[in-house]
Amino acid sequence: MHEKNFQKTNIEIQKIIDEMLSFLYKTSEANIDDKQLLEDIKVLENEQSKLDKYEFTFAVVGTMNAGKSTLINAIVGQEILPHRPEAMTTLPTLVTHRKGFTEPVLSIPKRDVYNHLIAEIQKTSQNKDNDFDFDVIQEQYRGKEKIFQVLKEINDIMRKAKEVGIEPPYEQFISINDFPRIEVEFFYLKEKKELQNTNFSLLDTPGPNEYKHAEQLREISARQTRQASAVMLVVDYTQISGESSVEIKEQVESALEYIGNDKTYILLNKFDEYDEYPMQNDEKGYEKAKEYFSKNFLDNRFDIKHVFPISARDAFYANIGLQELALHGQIDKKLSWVKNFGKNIIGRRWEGKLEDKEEVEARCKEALEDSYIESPIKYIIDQSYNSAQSGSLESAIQALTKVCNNISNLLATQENAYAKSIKELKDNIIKLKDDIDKFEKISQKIVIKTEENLDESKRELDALAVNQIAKFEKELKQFFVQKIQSIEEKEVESEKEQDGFSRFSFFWTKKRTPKENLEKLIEKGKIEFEDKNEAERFIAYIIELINVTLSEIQNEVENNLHLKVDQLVTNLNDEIEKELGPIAQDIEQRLGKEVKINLPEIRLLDSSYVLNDKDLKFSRHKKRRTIHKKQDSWWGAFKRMIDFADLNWGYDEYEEEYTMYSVTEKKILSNSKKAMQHVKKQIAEDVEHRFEKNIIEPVNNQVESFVAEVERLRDSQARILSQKEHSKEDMSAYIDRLKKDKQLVQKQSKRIENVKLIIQKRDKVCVSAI
Amino acid sequence: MCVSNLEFNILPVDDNDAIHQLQQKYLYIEEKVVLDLVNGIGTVAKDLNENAKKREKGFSRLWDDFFGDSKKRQNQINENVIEGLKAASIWLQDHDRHISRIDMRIKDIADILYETRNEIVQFYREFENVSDRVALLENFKKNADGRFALIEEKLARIEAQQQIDREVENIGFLNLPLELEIFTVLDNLASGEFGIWYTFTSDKQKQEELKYLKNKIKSKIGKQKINDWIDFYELYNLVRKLDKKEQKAIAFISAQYRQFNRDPYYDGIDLIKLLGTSKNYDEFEEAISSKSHIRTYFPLEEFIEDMAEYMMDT
Repeated sequence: MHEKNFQKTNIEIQKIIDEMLSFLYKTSEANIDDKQLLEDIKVLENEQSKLDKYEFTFAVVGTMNAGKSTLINAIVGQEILPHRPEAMTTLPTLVTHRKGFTEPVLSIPKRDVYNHLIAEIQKTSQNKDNDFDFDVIQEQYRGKEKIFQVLKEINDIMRKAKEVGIEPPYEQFISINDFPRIEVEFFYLKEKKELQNTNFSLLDTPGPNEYKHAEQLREISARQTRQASAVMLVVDYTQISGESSVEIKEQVESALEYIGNDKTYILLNKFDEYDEYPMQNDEKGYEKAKEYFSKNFLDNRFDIKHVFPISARDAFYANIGLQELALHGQIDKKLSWVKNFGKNIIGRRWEGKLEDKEEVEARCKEALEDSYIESPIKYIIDQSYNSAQSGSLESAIQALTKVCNNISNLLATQENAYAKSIKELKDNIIKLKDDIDKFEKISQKIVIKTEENLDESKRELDALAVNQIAKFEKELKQFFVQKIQSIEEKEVESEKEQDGFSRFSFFWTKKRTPKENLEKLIEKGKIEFEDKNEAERFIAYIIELINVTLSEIQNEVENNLHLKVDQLVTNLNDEIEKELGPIAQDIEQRLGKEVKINLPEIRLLDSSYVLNDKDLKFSRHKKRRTIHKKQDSWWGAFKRMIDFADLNWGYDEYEEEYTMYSVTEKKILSNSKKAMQHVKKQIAEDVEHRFEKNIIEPVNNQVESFVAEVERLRDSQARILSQKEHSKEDMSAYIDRLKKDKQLVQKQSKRIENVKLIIQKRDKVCVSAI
Repeated sequence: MCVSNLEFNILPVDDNDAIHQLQQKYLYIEEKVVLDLVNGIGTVAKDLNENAKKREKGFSRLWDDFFGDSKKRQNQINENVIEGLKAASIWLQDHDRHISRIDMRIKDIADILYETRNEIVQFYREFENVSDRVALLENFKKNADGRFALIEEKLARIEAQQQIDREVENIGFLNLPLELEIFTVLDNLASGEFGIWYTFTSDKQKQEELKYLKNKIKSKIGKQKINDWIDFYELYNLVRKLDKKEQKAIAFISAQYRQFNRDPYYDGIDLIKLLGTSKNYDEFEEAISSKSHIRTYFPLEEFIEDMAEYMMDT
């Protein structure tokens, strides 16, 4: 949707929320006991705050040494994060834009967790005569140097904890607000007025290859990365050819798998430093880099619009240069970064040109332009802004629809109750209680029926698994025999070729016949490979065999289960309609003709199994063997000729260690069975999960909310009953007020429908335009 | 003092030509001006009563006398009342051409004024002729009572529907933007004889008549246009092209409706008022954005439905 349209829709939604909230405040004063009204108020207030302020978090992930910190520093316009060449063991850090914060401020919301950890480390390390000295972590730190130091200390605490055998309390870091946060004014965003209603943060998070042994940390980062508004994946473009290219490709692929394609933007850092295309930082080189990378590294599967060549280093130096000029009017030669700045931004004889403010400023602007940093940032912000807006709008529309529906029912019930006599009302309230009881009984019946079906499915699954495993066992056995036969045949052949001379031996040593040998091997069920590749090929075949079996089990279960669940859902929905329908209609009649009670409806959710191939590894063991090397001399040759008793005359004898790769049928079978049992267990769990998620949970939830709704309406009738019993006033004034209220809520419902229509219409226009 | 109620007194009441011109399109504009003035007097009378009661004793009165607040307030009221009474009396003396719902409203206010005439006369004793002017209202009240009683008999249902048909036929020929043509047609119906008949008829009859009216307008406009959204930008620019007097008339009429029915449900009337009063489009857009009861997206069909309900019931 176009920005202006977004704003307009946003305004309309906010206006509807305002109207509904002022109505709800007024209504809740008159209905103090109605908790649902307070709940509705909370829901709408929450939606209102989401529409007022957008929270953007852009995760920055990088392949090794790709320039992730440089990029963050470039956007911020100062060196806010230390360069970190080693693998990261600490938590992700947030860098948040705060207008007016020229000096960075670090906040550590979970400082108690760190301090507790420090105490534990010190306790443990004292016992081991090993002393670590950490400062107590404060809540806030100001200034760059202090921040660097504290971030390093946090990193060390986590690392040391692992070293002394304490598992860092990663489970304490669930929400994004639990992470350390640096607040500073982003030079890039300083003048951007259009982003005033946004909270903008960069999340410095380790990439998938940056963990050592901290799996939990990987999970935390993955979760936060997936929840981010967008992900910038920084890739070192200079590493795309030669030895590193395969590694980079793997890293990019695994990163994309880790974070997903749709909101990922790839930044090809250092594209201007790539040797093969000198002077690349022009339009031609820029496009070339984009196309080359997309074609060779992403196999054209990734939207080329999301690939951006950049030079983070130039952008960084240009930005700090401009910031320094803005702050102090000149660049002091004593500054630590001046040398790099001069070399990169000004070029040859930079010292002499440093005092010319205009020249330096022009160079900085030029370098900033050539760094191409603007386009990805602008594009990513625009895209994220749109998606955040549509997300907030969608959620607000849903909340408003629900609240309007609740209120409409309540008002209709009240209006109806005022029109009824006291006796009718009393009868009504008693009957509603009965209806709720009936409803609960029927829902219990549905759950029992579902559980019976679930048990039946589990039994079927067990039977299926037994059959399939037996089938697999048979096939595996056959395959083993075939393989052993072919290996044995090959060996016999080669023995014949190699050992031609021994056929003329005078003293034939009794050897096992090929047939006997084969039987023995089959009985042993073990194949040994000297060639690792051959062992791998063999294992690959076995894995394929297991996969075929597993996919057969899965397909069969999938088909059966789908049919079963589909049928069950249809039956249950019919039953709900048949048994609950008349009750719901009765309730509707009793509460008022405009009250709409929605029957619980079971809908199928998508769910699929994730089958992990059990890693079947061949065992590797060292063996020693005696090697006979022919003696070179004529004496040696002579000795070999007269060695009629195979005594290895004429050979030098020595021992050699070698690796054998053995595959045992029994072991494979047992591992495969284990794998299959594991998968079966997974499928069983999944089946149970599906029944739980698709049927039991929705039925319970919906019945629960249905009962709550009917109870609420019943309470409201009871209140009116008591009002009627105790007051002698004319009720027509109340009825008139209710009519007006109803009209107002209906109008808001109409407005919501209009907004939905507008959104639909625009989406259609957008799609047809594409 | 609730002077804000008089803020809509924006038409040049002395300019007979201007009123005459506007009357070609806005049939009851003259009555509306008088109503506005009489309503002003009514408000003043009410305010006087309340103030007089509050301040007739004790420290407040002394304070007012000492600082001259009492005199200031009195002068402010006097100007409005004298102006209003002057215009109202001229009109009331000449009035015999037709009877409308506006007359009914004037009569209602006159009833209140008649009841409080003693206070008014006492307060305005320094203006000699005020007493006579107020007496005119008394005469008007007496005459009107009988005339309104006959209206339901006079206007049978068929005739009421014929009036609807006649007025709706004007849509497309009033040289106004479509939304304003609808508004004008509805106003002419609501302010005239049809309006009086509608007031006195049964609820059931009202519903049927309202439905007939809405359908008549919708079919006149055609299915295609009915489903359109009102284009605020285009509408605003079309209104700006109208004669200044006409823009004022639209603002005046819509404001008068709001004086008598403040139900926030009906946002269409505020939209019309804003069209006539906003200085530029930004101001208009800003006003729409800041008033939560006004729809940002207004389908023409909803405009017709709501405006018909609102204007007929006001």
